[in-house]
Amino acid sequence: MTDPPAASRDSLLHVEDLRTRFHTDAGTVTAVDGISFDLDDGETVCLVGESGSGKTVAAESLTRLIDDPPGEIVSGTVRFDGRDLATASEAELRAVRGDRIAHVFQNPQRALNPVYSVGWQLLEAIQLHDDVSKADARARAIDLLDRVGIPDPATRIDDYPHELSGGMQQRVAIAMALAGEPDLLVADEPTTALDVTIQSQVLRLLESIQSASGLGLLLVTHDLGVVAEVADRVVVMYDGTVMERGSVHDVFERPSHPYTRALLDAIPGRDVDLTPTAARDVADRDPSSATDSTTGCRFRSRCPHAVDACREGNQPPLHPTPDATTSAPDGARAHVAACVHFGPDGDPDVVVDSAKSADSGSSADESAGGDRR
Amino acid sequence: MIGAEDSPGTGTDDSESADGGEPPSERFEDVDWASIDADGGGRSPLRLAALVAAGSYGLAVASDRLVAGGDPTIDVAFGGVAFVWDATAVDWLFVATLSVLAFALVPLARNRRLVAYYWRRFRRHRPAVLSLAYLLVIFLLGTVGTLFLDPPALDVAAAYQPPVFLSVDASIPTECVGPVVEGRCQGTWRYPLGTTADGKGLLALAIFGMRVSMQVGLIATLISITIATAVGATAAYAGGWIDEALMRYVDIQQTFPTFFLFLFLAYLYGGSLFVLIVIFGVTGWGGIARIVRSEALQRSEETYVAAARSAGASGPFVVWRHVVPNVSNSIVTAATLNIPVLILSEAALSFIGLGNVTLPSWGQTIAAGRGDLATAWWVSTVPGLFLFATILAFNFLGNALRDALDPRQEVGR
Amino acid sequence: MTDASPLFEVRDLTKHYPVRTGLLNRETGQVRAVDGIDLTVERGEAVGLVGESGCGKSTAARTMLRVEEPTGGTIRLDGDPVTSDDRSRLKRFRRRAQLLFQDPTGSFDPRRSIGDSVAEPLAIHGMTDRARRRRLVTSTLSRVGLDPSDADRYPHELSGGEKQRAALARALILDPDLLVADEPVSALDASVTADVLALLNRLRRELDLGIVLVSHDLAVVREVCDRVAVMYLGEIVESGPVESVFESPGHPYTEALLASIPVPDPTVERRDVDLVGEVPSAADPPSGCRFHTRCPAVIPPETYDLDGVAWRRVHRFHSRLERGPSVDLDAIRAYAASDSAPETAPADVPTHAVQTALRREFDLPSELGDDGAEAVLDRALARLVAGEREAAARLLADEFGTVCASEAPATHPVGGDERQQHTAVCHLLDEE
Repeated sequence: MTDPPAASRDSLLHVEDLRTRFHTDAGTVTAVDGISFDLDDGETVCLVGESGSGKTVAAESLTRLIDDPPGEIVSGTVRFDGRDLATASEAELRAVRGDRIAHVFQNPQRALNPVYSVGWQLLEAIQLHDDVSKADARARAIDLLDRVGIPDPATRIDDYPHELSGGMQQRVAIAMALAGEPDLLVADEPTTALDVTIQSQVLRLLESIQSASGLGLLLVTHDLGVVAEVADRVVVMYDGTVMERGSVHDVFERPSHPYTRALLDAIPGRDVDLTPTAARDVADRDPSSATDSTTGCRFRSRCPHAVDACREGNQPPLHPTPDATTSAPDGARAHVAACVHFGPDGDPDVVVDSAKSADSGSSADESAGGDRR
Repeated sequence: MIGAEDSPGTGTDDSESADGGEPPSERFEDVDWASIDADGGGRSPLRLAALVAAGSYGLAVASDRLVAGGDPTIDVAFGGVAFVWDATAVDWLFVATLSVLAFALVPLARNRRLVAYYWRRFRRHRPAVLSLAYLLVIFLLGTVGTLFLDPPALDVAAAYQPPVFLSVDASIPTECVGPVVEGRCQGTWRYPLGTTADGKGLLALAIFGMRVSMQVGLIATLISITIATAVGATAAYAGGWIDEALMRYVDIQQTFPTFFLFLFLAYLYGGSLFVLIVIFGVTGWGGIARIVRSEALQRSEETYVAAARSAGASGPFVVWRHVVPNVSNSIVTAATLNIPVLILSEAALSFIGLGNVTLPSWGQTIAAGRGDLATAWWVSTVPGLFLFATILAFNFLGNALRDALDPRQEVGR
Repeated sequence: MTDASPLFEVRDLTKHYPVRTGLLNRETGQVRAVDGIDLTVERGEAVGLVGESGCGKSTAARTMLRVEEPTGGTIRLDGDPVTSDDRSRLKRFRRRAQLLFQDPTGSFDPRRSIGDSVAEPLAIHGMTDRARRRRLVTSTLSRVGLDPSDADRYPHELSGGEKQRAALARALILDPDLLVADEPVSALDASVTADVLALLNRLRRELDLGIVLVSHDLAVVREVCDRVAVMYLGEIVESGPVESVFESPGHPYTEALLASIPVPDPTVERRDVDLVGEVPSAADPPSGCRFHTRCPAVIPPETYDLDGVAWRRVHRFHSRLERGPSVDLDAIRAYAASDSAPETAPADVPTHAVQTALRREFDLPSELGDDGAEAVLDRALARLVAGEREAAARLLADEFGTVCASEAPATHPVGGDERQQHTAVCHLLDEE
């Protein structure tokens, strides 16, 4: 984990105010409602959130992998290497996808075609991006497989996906993503479906690839342990917006936003800090209630520190946290939280201090139903 | 047949409000299972109603067939309207079919939210909605309308009348009921769709033909889906050699030439509608069984089936309460697409002369008018159009149902 | 403490699935999903069963309740053996032992309301009074933290956490003495997980419920359970009180599991766990200790002085030769050919180049550090290049054999403190 470099406008990936909507029978759902973050070469940024936070949609919106219709990138910029991908033409996008930005998905089944051998698919990926002979491509494919830790690569290259275990399949998917020698790797929950011992292997693989080739890594996950292990910077998402953003040390050692604090507390072994509506996860809210006219902070119904100011206006903007002076001064890299208590009229101690006393087991028990909407 | 009849749950119970306050709550630890074990089971009201209905049906059939002899089953007069119904075997089958359908619709009524959801999805297919309306009209006319109408009567004098608004060369009909203009006999409102060679009104024939089509379609399909569901669900759930044996039988049955069976039986018993319906019903279930088995196989792997088993449910209980209701979507679709096949088959058999000539079915009418296509073309065309429209309507309906009820897009998945 | 038999006791539980191939579906082998495990649960105690996917824990959970018929072993509830012969007795057993499933969405019939589903066990066991069922459903739903009006909702209208609570209600409504929970929180978000676990703990205390918690997540087990058993490939490799096992694991697999858990603290430097390779197939488990093909602490033979990493790689190579698919020499030759400086045809590639390619293929270090071992490896590779795979494997078995591969380990106590002792099944604990 390196120190964040000096702020510059020339980050590898600059996402600003990205908004993505889905038009469903039950109404329009704004899955991503204005998120912004930066990512540099050689840096790992993690998008963290629970199901329904919009993190997957955000990752897929970067290269417009979202089906349009029913999805639609409404506004915002996705500046990659000088070009705005949100408005780029289909031809430009195709040049970028795979070659400059590669994806790894949660289920390797999504990336691997079951009727072709692993080698065939790797060769295809290699030859799509580079004009090499078949023999050379095959040698490169074997090297790639070796690099991602597939045992007996020269033998395994002719195996079919179903002959490999889940961890192996995911490694092959990573190999395919690396075939085009991309500058940015977007990995959406790459280890969630894997066993914990395999998970740690794959994570270490990603780290070693990154340090060897200097590519940027955008990792989408719900697992804070994974974040702590690999991230340089963290973007905490809830219901389509950024709740907190900062370096991994800032966010873990001085979590500011009540949601981040709740997430950290919810790890088994610690007391839960959420109020009665904890039982209702975001993912299963009626989508018709996720209309554009949501007022105030999205987290207020579950927040133990909600005040009247939280009900007004829009989602509070990202305010610098008290420790912001210790992190880099530039807005894109500072430690920020979208909470009124960190705004000009708020008192951060409301959040930061009270949580410490709440630790003594007030709502340690599960809660009765409570209001839901 | 969405949902099973016996819901083990929690209906709205008014008896609790008798004491005026909140119903006393009970903790599950306080349940004395030993005494419940000793008591034994009970019956749900729906099951009781079904038993009573089945019992009365049996009695009615027995009394008509065995006791009443040649007397009409129902012979009453309201005011000036006489209402006579001499039930044939097919009619009894039809009554049974309609009763079963009525019972099947009860869970639908209970499950209103689910029905509303399906209706919203179905509504998107305009042609299907129109088809549904058309078929409902046909159904009502065919079942209820025919009770009040006179069956088409022989009247040689009125043979070959053209439909209203149309005309035919005056030489064709024996006598022209309407005016003769410029040597052409005009159609009249007395016979709006014209008449056949026997002078039977085509409108009446069309309506009575609706009844025959409904009878063939519904009864035979009900027989088929009952057998298919039982076989398919059992094969899927039991697996092993039972599955093998049943499916191999289905394979054999599918290749069996039903046509020759019908020929043979028509030779023995005459081409009666009853025989036709029974044969169709008993031999046409193979394809549906395969569909049911395929769906049931998927359902049997679901966790809720395992949950029911681990709670102590027996195999048949699980199949009836969990597997069948969840494959009912496919059954409904398969049934809806089976009906037009049967109607068309009956028409085809009648057309080649194997049916009952006295039956007022569309196929018979088309067959009867076959020789007069050049002159009295409406005799074959009118029932032909009805046949075409009905088959088309069923197909639209079936396809739309398949989309609306698609298990893969089911609620919650 | 009276000498009462434990609430639930499982001895030597086995579940094998036949592997059938060929036209006549003949049984050609067996998948030994669960291969003789023992488990004991006292009243009010929570016992965890942990392991990764493929270890057989879910199969064990279903088999111990006879939801699937075990191939062998005994199951006792309150000392009484549970068999499938007597259907009414088995039904009564079902009332006393319930299973909670992993997938809350799938475990509810989408066509039935939550109330219907929760009431179903009551109906199955003969409660015909609908009003009574309704009252019980209402009270049970409240106890698991749901609103009584949820009884009229359908599964798709509830969130994952709510469904799992409803599933818990359904499992408890018969007032069982034992609850087997198969990965109850793995499908839930983190914040909901904490709630559900707290609920489980509270109900356990209230009802004096025995719980078997099957999970791959050690943190969850630590939160809820008193004792834990670690499973690998159908066998229990370590078991005992939770704190003891977690603080001082005796089995390398337990250590690897513990080290692999991501810790939500960026300052913590994680231990490097050299656990390579996939879990072997349960249809053909390794001989001796089943973990030896992946074990970072596999015992080297005494005759050679090999560095730890080198030894493990050699051992893995040996296992691969013995158990893995056949080595595709043509592919290796082709790869060596394409790699050689002047392009040569595969058939012309010199043997030493093929050997080098083999070494790379199987991750063997270029130097082993012990001349004697080096010579053996060279001979083995030479045999392999000549196409004699079995001979190569035999040579390696003779020279590099390890007790871990030849003998099944015995159960040994771990931990000095008498009260906190637990047991592990590993040769490392063999007394000299």
